[in-house]
Amino acid sequence: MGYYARDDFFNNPEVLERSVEILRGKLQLDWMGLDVERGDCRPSDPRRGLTFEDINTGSRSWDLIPEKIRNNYSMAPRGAVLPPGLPHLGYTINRKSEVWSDNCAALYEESKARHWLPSREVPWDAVEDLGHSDDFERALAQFYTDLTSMATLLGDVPSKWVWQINQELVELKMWQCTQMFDAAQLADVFRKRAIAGGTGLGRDHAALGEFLKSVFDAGTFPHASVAAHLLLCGLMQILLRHLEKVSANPADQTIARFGVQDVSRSISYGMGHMRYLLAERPHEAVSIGDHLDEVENAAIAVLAAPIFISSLALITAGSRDEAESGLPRVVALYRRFADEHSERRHAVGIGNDESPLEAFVKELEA
Amino acid sequence: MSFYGTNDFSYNSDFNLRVRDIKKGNLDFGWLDDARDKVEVRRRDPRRGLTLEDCEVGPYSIENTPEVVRENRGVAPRGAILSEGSEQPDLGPSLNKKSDVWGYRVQRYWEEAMSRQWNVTTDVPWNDMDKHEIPDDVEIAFCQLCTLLSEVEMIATDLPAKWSHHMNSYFQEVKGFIATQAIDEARHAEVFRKRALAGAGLFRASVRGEHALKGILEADSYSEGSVFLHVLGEGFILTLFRSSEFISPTPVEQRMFQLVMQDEARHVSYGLQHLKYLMDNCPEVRPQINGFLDEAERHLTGLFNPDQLESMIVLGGKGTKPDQIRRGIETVGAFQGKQIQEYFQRAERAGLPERRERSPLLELQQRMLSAIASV
Repeated sequence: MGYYARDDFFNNPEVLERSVEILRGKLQLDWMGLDVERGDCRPSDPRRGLTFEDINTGSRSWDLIPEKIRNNYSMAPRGAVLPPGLPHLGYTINRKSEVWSDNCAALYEESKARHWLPSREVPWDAVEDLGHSDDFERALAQFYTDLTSMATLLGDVPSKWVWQINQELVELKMWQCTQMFDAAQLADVFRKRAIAGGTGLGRDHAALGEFLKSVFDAGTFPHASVAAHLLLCGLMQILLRHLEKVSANPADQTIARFGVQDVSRSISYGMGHMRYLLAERPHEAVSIGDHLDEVENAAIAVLAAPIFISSLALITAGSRDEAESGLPRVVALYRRFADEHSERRHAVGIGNDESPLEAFVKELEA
Repeated sequence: MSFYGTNDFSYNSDFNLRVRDIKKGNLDFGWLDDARDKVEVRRRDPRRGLTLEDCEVGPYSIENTPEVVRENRGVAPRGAILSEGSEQPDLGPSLNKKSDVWGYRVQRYWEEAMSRQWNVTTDVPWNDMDKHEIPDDVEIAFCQLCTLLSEVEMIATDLPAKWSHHMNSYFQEVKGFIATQAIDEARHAEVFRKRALAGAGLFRASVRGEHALKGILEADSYSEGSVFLHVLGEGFILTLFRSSEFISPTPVEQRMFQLVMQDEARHVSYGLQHLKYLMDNCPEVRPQINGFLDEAERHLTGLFNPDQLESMIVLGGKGTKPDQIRRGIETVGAFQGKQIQEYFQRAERAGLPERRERSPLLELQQRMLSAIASV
């Protein structure tokens, strides 16, 4: 046991006597007289139900959460009456700008509304009858193996941080829980697809491991966020969009569509978070930009890894024999990735026209 | 930054050569020749889709995974071909023993959790709230209860999150399942927060309850945290949900409790199956788990706080008049006894029958029953 409360409630006669008194019918009901701000919130649009936006009113509004949270380190819901003696739950992230994005509540609502079910919504019968070559399937399985690792790591990032975030930022914490869930679901569907194709999972490789470790091992949440949400999710998004184009199989197309939808939400959060953070603490831009450069350095090792680029070239061209001819399309894909990533960097205030990713793609194009 | 990769590729001649190779169109397909037995995966029941159990074949099956996973230190999926020895970067998983995290039937819980996701925003009939009259004292009591429930539910997102990233990626089913728990519990905190703010507002937080939550969060191991959270804490909350459905003022609140109960029951089941797996495969930890539960049960007494008890009584009796209070006490007394008995039954099923003998909760129950008898 790591924590022993100062008061052993069980052996505190006052505590037990109070409970016994209540059960004897001597209620105090002092909580009934508390001066509490009524809610009375209702759905603004009955068809959409009661959203977080609808209850974001009065003194409990997230707009009123201060930058530095000093009043509550417990799990008491924001807006509740805080009695003296609430313990400190050990939260280490108590600055709003460290994690907040103004779109987090909307993204949480969207995530719930767009829930999908890998076991039933993917047309798995199409995987039972593939209609493409064994080599193509092996390349796809390799592609899905890499995506499974990426999705697993994508779930580990919020898992590492969310429990350290102050409870006042509850909408943000809930959003991070959906991220954990979405990532677990993606890892599940990617792995299932690789196995179900018959050739099984492909090879884990060091370049991908180093990239994912550099995303995961960030020292602060903003550094982790920019690497995971802008770079890793950006890469997953472009790979999945590509998959939808190159695979004629309806199962792959469905997986790709749902996958794009899920990682796009995380990109949107990552951008919103960076904007919020840098508006509040612009001096952080240098450190975060430097960090992203370093993680990009690890990302280009993945893009150039023989196993990664050759499997991508094969699924792009359609066969092993034609893979070489697929390379220009892979380079064009990398160009789109670099451009979109660069646009996002600029949009949030950490642009770098000579970033490692940009330099790598330029070198490939030269 | 706490990790720098092995190479700065801007200044790496090997990497430059590789880029030159790519530009020349030289692709290495050695990986295509990796010998791998083919597997056949089919949906056993097409109506249920492709489940994890359908994919439990050959090297991908958990049955073929050793008790201690040594070879995978990264985030490779179970069954992938691993890099040679030290080539795989170490992401530092610390839960590498199957018995640290595994529970019987976890694959089924994962599939069930995914298929039973619901949406607080649209699945609770919020638009019906104005169709029902609720007396002020009952409404306030319900919002006091919602405040407590919103407070305690988030612990069940924080605890899984605290441990999930430490789990070896070979235990994907457990990582996945506890990610579903995180979102389930976020939804529970959401539904109680929304209900309070659709009515009389948020009331008083619970000091004693929070100490219990801190005890859960600061458990020394995942298994201790799980037994406290899933078996003890959520077990008690599950019984409380069932009683709360019974004493809910209107069908809107009843619907809320019906929805949260199905999730909570799944979490309790996983906790039981993990505890059972642990007892079956790692019996040497029994004294440690028992010692931990001795203290955890004391912590849990904090959840019987006066505000919660009184609000349940008001809800049970549907008001604050003396005869209503009397009726409320009868209802709440019965449910509290049930909470404790159901906990002992669960502990017994998981392989810890000795809890009934050594637990301080029985004494508490005895005192409570005597108090009720004297009303």
